[in-house]
Amino acid sequence: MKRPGSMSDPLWFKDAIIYETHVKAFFDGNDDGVGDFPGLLQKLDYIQDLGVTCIWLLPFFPSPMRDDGYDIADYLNVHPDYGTMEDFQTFLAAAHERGLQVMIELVINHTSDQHPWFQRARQAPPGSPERDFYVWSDTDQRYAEARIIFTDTEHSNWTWDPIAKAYFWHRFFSHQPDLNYDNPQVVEEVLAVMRYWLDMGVDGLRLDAIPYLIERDGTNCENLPETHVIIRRIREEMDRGYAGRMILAEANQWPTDVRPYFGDGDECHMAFHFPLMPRIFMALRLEDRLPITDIMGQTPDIPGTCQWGLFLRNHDELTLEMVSDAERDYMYMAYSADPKMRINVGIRRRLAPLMDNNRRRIELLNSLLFSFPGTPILYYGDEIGMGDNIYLGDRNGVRTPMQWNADRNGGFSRATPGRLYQPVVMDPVYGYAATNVEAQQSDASSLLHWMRNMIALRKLFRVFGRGSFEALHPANRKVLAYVRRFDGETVLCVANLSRFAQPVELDLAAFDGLRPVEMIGYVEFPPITRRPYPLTLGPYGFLWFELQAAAEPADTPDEPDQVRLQIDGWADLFEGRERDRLETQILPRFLPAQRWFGGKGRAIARTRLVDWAPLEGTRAAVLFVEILYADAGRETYGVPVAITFDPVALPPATATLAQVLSTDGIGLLVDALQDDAACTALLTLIEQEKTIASRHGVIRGVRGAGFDAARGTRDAILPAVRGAVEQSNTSVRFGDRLILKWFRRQTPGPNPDGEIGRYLTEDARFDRIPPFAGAIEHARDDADPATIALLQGLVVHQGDGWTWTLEELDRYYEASAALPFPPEAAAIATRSLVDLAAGPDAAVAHEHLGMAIEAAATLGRRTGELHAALATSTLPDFAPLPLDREALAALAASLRADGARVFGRLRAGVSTLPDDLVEQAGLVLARRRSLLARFDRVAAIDGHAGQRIRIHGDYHLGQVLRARHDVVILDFEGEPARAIAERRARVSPVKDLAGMVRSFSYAAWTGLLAYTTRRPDDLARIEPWARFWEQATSAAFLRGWRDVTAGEAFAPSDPDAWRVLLDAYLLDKALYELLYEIDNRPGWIRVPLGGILALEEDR
Amino acid sequence: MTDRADVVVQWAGSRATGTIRDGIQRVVAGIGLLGDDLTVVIACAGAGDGEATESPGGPATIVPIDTAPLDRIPMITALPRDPYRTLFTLGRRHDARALLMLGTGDDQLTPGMVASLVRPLIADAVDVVTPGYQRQIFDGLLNAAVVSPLTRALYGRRVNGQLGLDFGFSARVAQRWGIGDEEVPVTRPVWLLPQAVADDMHICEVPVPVRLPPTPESIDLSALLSHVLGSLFTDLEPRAPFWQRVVRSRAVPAIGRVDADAHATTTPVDVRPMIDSFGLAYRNLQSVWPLVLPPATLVELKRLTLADPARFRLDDGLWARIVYDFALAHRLRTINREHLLRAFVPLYLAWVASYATDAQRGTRAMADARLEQLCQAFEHEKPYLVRRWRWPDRFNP
Repeated sequence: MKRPGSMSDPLWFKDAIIYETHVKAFFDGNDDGVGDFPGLLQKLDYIQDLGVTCIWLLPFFPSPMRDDGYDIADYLNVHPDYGTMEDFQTFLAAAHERGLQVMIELVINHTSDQHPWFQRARQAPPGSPERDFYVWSDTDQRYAEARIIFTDTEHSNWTWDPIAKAYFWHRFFSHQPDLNYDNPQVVEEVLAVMRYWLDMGVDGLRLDAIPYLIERDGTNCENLPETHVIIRRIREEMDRGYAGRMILAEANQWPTDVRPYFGDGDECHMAFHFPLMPRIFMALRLEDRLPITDIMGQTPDIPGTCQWGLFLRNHDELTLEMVSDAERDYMYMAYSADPKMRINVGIRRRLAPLMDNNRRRIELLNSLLFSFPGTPILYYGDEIGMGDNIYLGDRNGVRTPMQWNADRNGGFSRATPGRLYQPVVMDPVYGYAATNVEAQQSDASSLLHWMRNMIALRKLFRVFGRGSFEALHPANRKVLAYVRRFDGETVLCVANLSRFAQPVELDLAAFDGLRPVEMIGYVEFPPITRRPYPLTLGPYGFLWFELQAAAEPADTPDEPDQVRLQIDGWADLFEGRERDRLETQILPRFLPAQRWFGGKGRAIARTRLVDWAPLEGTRAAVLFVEILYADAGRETYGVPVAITFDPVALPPATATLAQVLSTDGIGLLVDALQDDAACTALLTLIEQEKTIASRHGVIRGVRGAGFDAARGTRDAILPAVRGAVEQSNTSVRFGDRLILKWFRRQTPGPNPDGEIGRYLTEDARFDRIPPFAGAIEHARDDADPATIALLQGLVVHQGDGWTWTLEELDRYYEASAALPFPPEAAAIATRSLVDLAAGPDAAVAHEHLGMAIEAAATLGRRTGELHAALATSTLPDFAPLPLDREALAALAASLRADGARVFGRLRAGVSTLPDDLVEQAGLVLARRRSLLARFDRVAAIDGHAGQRIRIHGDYHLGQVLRARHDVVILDFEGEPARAIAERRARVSPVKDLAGMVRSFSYAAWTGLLAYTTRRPDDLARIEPWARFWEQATSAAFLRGWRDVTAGEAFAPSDPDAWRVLLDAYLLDKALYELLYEIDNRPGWIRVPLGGILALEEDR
Repeated sequence: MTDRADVVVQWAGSRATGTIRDGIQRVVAGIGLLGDDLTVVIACAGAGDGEATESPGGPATIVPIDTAPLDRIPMITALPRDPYRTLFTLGRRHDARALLMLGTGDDQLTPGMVASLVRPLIADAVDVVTPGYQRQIFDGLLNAAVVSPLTRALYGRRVNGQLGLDFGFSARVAQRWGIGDEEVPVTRPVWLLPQAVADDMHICEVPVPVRLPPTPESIDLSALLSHVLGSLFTDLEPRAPFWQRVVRSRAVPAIGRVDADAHATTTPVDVRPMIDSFGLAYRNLQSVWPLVLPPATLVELKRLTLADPARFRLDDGLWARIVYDFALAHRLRTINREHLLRAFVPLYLAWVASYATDAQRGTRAMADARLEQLCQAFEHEKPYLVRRWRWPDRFNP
């Protein structure tokens, strides 16, 4: 009768934890000294309690036992020492009842020479079908290139049989003749054996020694193509009649040579990763992750329905076949000082002795086993740290009886000790009196408890069995770090391979904003930022982190279950019965929760859908939403939305507007920029310059001249990748070629970012910006078209200027902290910036700042080139305007008015400032008149003050990217809070310079505060270094700009004009910062206050 | 026999057989309140075979259902062996749009209540309707003390009526639940919300007047706690991969309203016997509680035994941790589970005494606020459960 397997999920083995044991070694049910199936049955509760899910049984078939059962004399029976077939079936049923799967051996490469097939073959005449069950030869010279595997005992792969009067082929022991798979009858017999056991309900088959099935002249007789024909045949047979079963290949080969054993998902389901195992031991001993990461780097991808089998130890020797000679020598020296520990090409020791019984090392290696990509396979006894007996022959030292308690025979059997199939380990350290299940079950701190807990923890997270693997590469090679991802779960694993505590900094910028939660203790660690993430690990310590989304703030309004909309098409939502709910319930709740929404803090009176357009061929549409605030202000936002039914790729909860019930089922209405199909449709809109009719206007794709170059190969697939969350826009990258920036707040007229980007790319050919590739415009009714999205080419870079500068500052402060502050640096710190910029860089600046000076100078030059490019245009909106008296007077008045407002805010808020800032604020207020007088001087400029040109408008270190030793300038949108007209206005380029100089100031003080947070006593001593750095880099920047723009009409040529303008814009910027910090980060007011006071000192 | 029905109702019937017809009429009237001509099938314990009555959509078919007394389950009587499976099977058979499970007892069953429970299934595309009973200060204490805060913290939904009698289900639910060999068990009373959340069902709560099951003459509190908490704790293990990922709870929509008196007060309750019981248990269970509770909790309990009865208060966080520790001990089988749950009883009484001491001084609204704080405490202490679940260790603070 054919029984079904116990699992319905065809990929059950990916989540399995396999427990390998020998029937004879586990528990003796009839007290004859040999373990058996009744005994194993009695211990099923233990196995279940351990938490493993699948039992792998070593061969239990009738056998002369000259190779511990791998020499099979009868495939269809149970060795009488282990019980009867009925015993096996009882055990199998009981295992299934407990939810445990059972995998047995299918040793098909060879049989015992006592097998009836061989006995018949040796008697049969040459050439007969019976004879051809095995591989015969008249000489022992055929297949000479095939290596000998059991080098300790065999000297040839051929052995003479006096009855057959011929040599027979054997890759293993001489009493294990290889079957001849060129004989179709052999294949049929093997399939019959397989069906026999699968009919009984066995869940898995381990194909032993599978690479050696086929022999061919001129080859090494391993991994030959014909072998895979056989395996596919076996797999076909299994798939045809036996759902939910599994084949595990034992192919001790390099990963690339194992890969074929998976086929295209039509051969073996699983295969052991042999080369990884010794490298884990090597990496541990070397205290260097390289052996592991190296072999993982060489491990090919396998079909999604397949799985690696991972193990630390098993019934065989720790094989060193798949390592180099030097590595083998090292492993012998490291782990088998006594030659008795070595056999064949390996080491016959158990895990605990290999680890010198060091509990931390044992735990560390098991943590790797449980968290690496694959299915872990535990060897019986390793869960309690059993030892071995190297004085037993062959590999019997690692196959000793299971140690259950401290009683006679370790509780394995009640037989007289002399009758045991092998003696129990009885040394003082690993012997059964010290190391046994009973003792460890009552010890909550035992290895057994630890293993149970780890197994349970692993089973909580499918990512371990099914997820991807990405190694990280921190500078400290004693630390192994990797990320596993699957179905929304992301886990970071970090392991210290050293016997000493280790620090490590991890580049987790890709996970910016996520919270690591340590898995075992469920402890939250600090959130990840774009800066390197520091960790410290104890000796052999390891950490597993779930990377979770940042917790919502406590005052976020409680979210009931999503509103559910019932629609049959977009018309229902935008014009039909659900429009009211969209406008009155959904949008007013959705918009304020978005990071890009600029109206936070303003009460929304009403939202109204003013236009909309579906994106053809997708489930997406673009909405234009007008918001009327309670303070009578109005804004319009572009909100692309999509309906998704994809349960796998769910967007973050904040990107979901509502549930949708439609004829296609239940889905979610989400931000379309989280939906891959919608993003691709937007790209296509630009690429094909499509025009879509919206309800009250049109949406048009504009393709830039640089599109093809930016996109690259036409047929290349560019997957959509979400960018980091931004304050006013949303970005989507397409592969590594393009980035689409969606401008959330809509204003009529061209967006300066697109306008300037296009001009610089196509007209001025200025290449220090991301190239303009296209845009999307929306024109509603008769209004001017608004740019709603901008497409640019991605540039290769090493991070933004702000992050790079902070890293440089950290090094700078570290290096400077122990040095006396040089008098020359003091002079620089106190000199006027304009004066510094007029002369060459001081040697002391180069000595201490090094790269920062050069980088600032480069930035200055590129800024000058940018301004020059912008100033050469004759386009109406770009052509330079004079900065004449009238314009200067208007500028002065505007600056003064803004400044006065800021002083008013500062005065009003002094009482709320932190105590240590009140004095500084008071000083600034006391100098209010003289500070405002700086603005008045602008109106009095007499000499050439330059021109008004299009500028960047929001220039700071965060707007530049480091690209090798150069820079790329981004984001010409201007300050989002200002009106479009203001952002497109032509102004003095000195404004940009002031923005960047203030950014240097912010960086210097941000870095100082970060550095001295850890060393608060150093603040006073290092503060002069901060001022010195700020002055020196600012001067280098200005000097670079002046060098490039010398003689240009747009640059102030009159020294007094230059000084006055720079002073005024620096003060204006510092006051703007002051206002921002008062409103948003009161503790940071010290930075602009310090900047303002420093300007006063400059005077 | 009507092949297709808009609504299938399964009613546990009444002890008093003479009122079955009245009850059926109320159900039918309730369906009629929905306004549309809905056809209805009513499966009822105690009804005669082939009975029929008029319904808005035509003759309403009455289907008798096989019952077996389940006397060992307090306050639940005369139910089919597997009532939910029966209901879902009937729902699929009749291709119903809405399914309604009504508990026993007829005197509190009103047409308005029936309509309230069915309406969201038909009009609002809801999958599971739970009853939001407008409880009085001392109604549903086991639910308030343990079931509601625990499931809220673990499964992330704020649903109050999990130990209720009456639930509604959509056709989508009928297509997914109660198929195959697995049991959809009524004998595990708190299965519904975790299952609904795990299956991403759309849940709502409908405020309805409180409906109490027929109260037996004497209540075996130990058996009741054992039954309810045993079910609750047993369900935690298979659902651990789910609830360990839920970070915070959210409300389910409340559809409809009932005018309940927020200012209602209650007659004082003598809490002294409960406090005495707790104190006695503290002395007698010295060998049991330390196997379950950590030292810090035991010290707090000792302080409580010495407290002035007028100021007897079991801190919310402490109570949450006690419940979590018992859930863990249940999972680990630290002691026999029956013994474990009996050892919980005195602690529960301590909570009731503490709650009564607070609540009986104020109004119903104040009591509700008090219970909301308790729920928040359970959510706050959830990491306590998670980390002990993942790493069971006796060496706790």
